[in-house]
Amino acid sequence: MSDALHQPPHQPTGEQTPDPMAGHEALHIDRYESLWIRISMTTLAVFTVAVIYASTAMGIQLPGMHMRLDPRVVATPGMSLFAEPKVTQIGDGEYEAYIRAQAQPWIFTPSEIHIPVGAKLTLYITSQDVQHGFHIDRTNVNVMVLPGQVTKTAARFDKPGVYNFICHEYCGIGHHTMFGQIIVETPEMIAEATATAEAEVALATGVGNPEKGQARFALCAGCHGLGGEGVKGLGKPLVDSAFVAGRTDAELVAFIKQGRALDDPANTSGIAMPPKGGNPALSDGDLLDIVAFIRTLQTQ
Amino acid sequence: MAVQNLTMPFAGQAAVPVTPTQADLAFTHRLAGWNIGIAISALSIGVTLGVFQGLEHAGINLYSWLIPLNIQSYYQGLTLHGVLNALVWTTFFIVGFFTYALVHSLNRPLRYPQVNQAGLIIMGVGLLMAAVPILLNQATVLYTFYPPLQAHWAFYIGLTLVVVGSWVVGYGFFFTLYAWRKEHPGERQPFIALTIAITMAMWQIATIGVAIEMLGLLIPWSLGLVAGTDPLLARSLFWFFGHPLVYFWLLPAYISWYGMLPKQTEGKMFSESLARLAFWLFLLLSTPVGFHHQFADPGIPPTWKFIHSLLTMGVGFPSMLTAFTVVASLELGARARGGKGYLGWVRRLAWGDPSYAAQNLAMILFIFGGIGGLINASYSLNTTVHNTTWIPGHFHLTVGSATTLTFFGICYWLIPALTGKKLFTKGLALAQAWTWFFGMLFFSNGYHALGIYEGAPRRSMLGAAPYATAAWQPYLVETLFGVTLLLISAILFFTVVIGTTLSWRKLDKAITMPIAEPYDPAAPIPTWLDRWGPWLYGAIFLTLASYGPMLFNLFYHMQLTSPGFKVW
Repeated sequence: MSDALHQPPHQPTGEQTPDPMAGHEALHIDRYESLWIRISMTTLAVFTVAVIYASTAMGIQLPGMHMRLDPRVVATPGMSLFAEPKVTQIGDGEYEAYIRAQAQPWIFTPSEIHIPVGAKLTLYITSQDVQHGFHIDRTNVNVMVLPGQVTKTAARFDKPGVYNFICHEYCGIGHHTMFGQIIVETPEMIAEATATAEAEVALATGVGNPEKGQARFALCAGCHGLGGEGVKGLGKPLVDSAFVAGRTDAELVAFIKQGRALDDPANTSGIAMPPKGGNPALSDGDLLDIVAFIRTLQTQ
Repeated sequence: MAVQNLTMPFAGQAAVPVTPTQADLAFTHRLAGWNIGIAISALSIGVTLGVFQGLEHAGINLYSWLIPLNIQSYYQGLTLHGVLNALVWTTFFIVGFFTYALVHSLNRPLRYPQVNQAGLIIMGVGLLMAAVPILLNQATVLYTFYPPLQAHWAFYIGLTLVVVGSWVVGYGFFFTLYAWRKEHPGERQPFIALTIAITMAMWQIATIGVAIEMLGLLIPWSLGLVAGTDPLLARSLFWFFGHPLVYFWLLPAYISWYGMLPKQTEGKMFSESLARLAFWLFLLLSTPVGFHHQFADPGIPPTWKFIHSLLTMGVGFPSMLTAFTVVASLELGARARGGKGYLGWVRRLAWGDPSYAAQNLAMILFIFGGIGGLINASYSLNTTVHNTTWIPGHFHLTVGSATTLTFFGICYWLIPALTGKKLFTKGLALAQAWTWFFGMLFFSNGYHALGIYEGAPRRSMLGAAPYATAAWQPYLVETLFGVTLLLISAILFFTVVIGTTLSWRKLDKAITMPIAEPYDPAAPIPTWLDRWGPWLYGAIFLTLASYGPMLFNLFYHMQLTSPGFKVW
């Protein structure tokens, strides 16, 4: 552009002043600028075509109008499709799940969904309280979950494994603990899972490993502090805790699995403890390890 | 002149031009100074909390330090970070900068100074009202305040007053420009004054959405006058406002880049016609694009989302125009300073001037911000980035860099101009600009990557998230490195501001506002680029066409069924 820039195109020389009305409404555009405008418009046009192609030919679908409901009764049994956790097979390799998002404790119900590999899963999601988000790891499912609205979305799972679904909209003080899992299983894994479940029952009557438990405790540390010393306004101290001392391992595991709701009269902390501390992936064996670690914090 | 019949309505009734007296200027400068002082104070708290967030994400939780200050959680800190930086710092700075620039661009005092003063007072009262519940942990709802999270009513009324105050300031500007036009029949409106008025007009249209949300839904609901609210309707009204809000942050930076920065590097405004066209296009296209923030929402038909996605591509166009015109204007300067070659001239830009350097660096970061913005607004690509850390990565390049770093650059001539003191010091200010540039580069790169590769959610207490994996760690360390540079940069900025204000070294000669002259003063500017009617009515029409049917639908089917929740 350097040549064009050396001389202004309109030198104020008097006699060359254009007729006042000619060019009066026309926009003067520099040669290079005009080239740039064409490049810009072409770029934006290409993007537009790409977006149209992706959303039609490639079938990318965004949530739209599905269904509205009254958020106040979403969790009430008998009044809502979302009251009980529900995952059903609706066809060959096709499943659907109704998921209810909730704050305090911050959980999805159901928080664990098992489907066989290759299945297509259709999800209906709503909230019983505030706004939430829903993003399944490694998929294009990334939607908002609003009270009063049902979000419909779907994904096919061709690879076995564990897919986290995470709440990605701020929903209160426990937002970052809110997630669930879709476990996509091969037939062998389904058989193995049954065996593991039996092993875990046996484990639950045994003794945990405090070292493994300490590693797992990192999650609990968010509220209870890294050394179990407690965090004011969040989790109670677990060091030299009379509550811990007064219960068996099995009782403590059962307690952690259930958590402590805010409306529980025994709740004295003013904040809910979510089931399994908010990590639905913890097995009974893991919880037993955590309990074993908590036992090491009791010095008396 | 080719522009005689521009302002026919005023022909034959020209008033005597008024120029500002010393007292007028002193008043204007005091108003601007108060606004900018409040803005910078808010920013000092806002950025400090950002440092705590960066540390928390990398596994270093220092929030216990903040408990004595009654900041009880990550999310209360995050609310302060968002409200103070994105709403208070920007709005107050813009109002202060505009007050100064309008008067100096027109060389005319404010028509009704009391109106502008009243606007500032309303904004200030609103800020205090909103700040108290946030500091008392009664409004930990983040800066988007999505219901049915329910803050204390004072938070909503306070923010509403900030907006109302900014309207009043805008009216003060409109009266002043109108008076100038009456006094100067046949003259075209000066570029800076015109673009300030366009920005404030766009703001008037945009804020209607949030005003309806506040007055119609949230305030009666938080006062207990109605039992419930409609979250989807509230979101839609918020984003009616939320996207043009982005342009409200950006256009003041554009005004400086087009109208002032060329002067600071001895350049000239390359093409004044296209510069004006860009601003009119922003007025036209800023608002009818908001559904691209709601691609992931249920209850909004995909067709509307798609239309808004296409219109968003349209609003990309004036930004691309800006890229050419501004760079050409700066190149003129670099060549006048002896620059040679296809790209070699870049070295001859006024890099030694911190005000110039900061703004040029801001532009470079905005290139990446703009590209990311097109991805976010693409109907099909949004699902890969929606509500991941990619999004804050993006807007730290736009509002956090293009806007904020440009405002820092403006401060480096404006604060000496307002205080009559020498900048303390050029070296510190230059170091500030460069550390901010690299800090944001690393910070936002880490956030973009973490969002798109790992799907890490935005505005989450990631350091305590049970689903965080070891794969996130490198990105979080990268962001922490960026945060460290940003902390150094912020300390430098506040040192320069406080040092300049308290300095005893007076300026040798008064600093005046840099005003870029047109490169080709004789080039005719079409009358349709100086006329308000078509653009303003066009903007109102497009907004009604793109929002009217869906908003009507949402209001018609409104369900006030969501009670409020305080779950923090």
